[in-house]
Amino acid sequence: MTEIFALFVSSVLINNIILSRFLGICPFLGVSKKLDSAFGMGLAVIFVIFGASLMSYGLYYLVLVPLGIEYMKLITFILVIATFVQFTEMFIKKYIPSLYKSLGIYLPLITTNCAVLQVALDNIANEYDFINMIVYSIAVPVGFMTVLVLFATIRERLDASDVPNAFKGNPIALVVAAILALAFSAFAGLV
Amino acid sequence: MNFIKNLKTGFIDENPVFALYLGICSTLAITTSLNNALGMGVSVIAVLVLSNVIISSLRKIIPDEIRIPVYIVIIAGLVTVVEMLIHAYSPSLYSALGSFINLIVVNCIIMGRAESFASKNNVVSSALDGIGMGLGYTVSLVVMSFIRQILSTGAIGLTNPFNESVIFNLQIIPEAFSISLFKTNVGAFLTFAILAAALAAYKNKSVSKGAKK
Amino acid sequence: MPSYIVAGLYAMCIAGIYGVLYYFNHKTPVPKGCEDLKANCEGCNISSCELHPVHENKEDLNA
Repeated sequence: MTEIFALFVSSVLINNIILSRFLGICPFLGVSKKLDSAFGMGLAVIFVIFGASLMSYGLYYLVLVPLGIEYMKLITFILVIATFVQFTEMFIKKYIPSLYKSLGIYLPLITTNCAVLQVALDNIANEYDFINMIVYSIAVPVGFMTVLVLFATIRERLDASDVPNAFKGNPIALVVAAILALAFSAFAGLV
Repeated sequence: MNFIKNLKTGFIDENPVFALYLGICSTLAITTSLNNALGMGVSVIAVLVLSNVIISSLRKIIPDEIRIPVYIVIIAGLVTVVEMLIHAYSPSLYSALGSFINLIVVNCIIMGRAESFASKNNVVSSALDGIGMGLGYTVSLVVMSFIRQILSTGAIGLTNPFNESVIFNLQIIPEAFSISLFKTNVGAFLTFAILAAALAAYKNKSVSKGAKK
Repeated sequence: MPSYIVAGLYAMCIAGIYGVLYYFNHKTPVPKGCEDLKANCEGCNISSCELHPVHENKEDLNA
């Protein structure tokens, strides 16, 4: 139990997917302008990472390993993610239009989010068992959402402040990210 | 003259990393040393040129409705090949770049060029476009890794990734004065922010110059 | 059967599933009230991306 808790905390705070592993920077810069869009993106990412990792994990151990074609994992995973996103989008368009209104626009952005592919690859590379895989696939996107929401709150204030011309837009956002990363590095001794 | 102008556009005005913000994730992560930057740059050039060539030669066959799925399959196949080659011939580079070789699949530069250039142009110009864009990316990686490596270790060096022999290694700043912060994630974000701001400042200046004329 | 043939068939299979889902998803109409949702993503400066805010201005100019 402690092991699982340690894995969760370290994936959310210490090895944070954005700040210390530099993945998913594009949506981090792109949809952090407003707090509610950060929330929407965060929720969509949690859902997609969890679903896509589950399916990739299953396909890898139930199909690729028995057939002896493990080298196909990259193609499999990227297609699983893309298929999962298409299916989810189609499903909520048809049956849950209210959910589509709040999350739909973020779904197509997620296919090319490197965090999703990385989690699927990590589950295999770290040889996680089923329970660890589940915990890891929830913890990583939770860490993503935490930082995204934190960052969005800072960025809303940033709009009101006087920033040097050359730093306007993404450069100042990256400076803020550097300071956030510095703050998060204090978590390093936690587990 | 036209060629130089194109080169300037690719390197400065439309620099894929610092002006268009493409492929930031791998740029931040692997620019800790010059070796990694060059290895990553060459891998991206290889994938980009090959994918541009394949996609532009198939552009009349691929049905428009499902072109994006087809691009993804082609790119993922190419990345798998490149990954296997690096694994076989340069294990040290393979372990240094880690999973960022796999993540070339979701690098926006490749998908972006496939969608906006290779799907509309002929094979030769698509290949040239791939080389140009890839070089712009590589140069950006090299510049950033150069700064980070010098500041964090005080030395700049290059080793042969195939047999581990040192090509050159220059100690520029005494080791006691190195700033190890630049090796960490904080340094990566800061260096990137400052380089992007420098490029923006340069562009703002040339825009205001043009307005005065 | 040699493994590369299995791999090829397998790749075609999952790519086919994706292609079909992609096609059907794009045929499914967007629900009412969601036609003009915009993500306004500015993560990168590719202006050809449909999510980039540049397109709003263009539509304004045309109208």
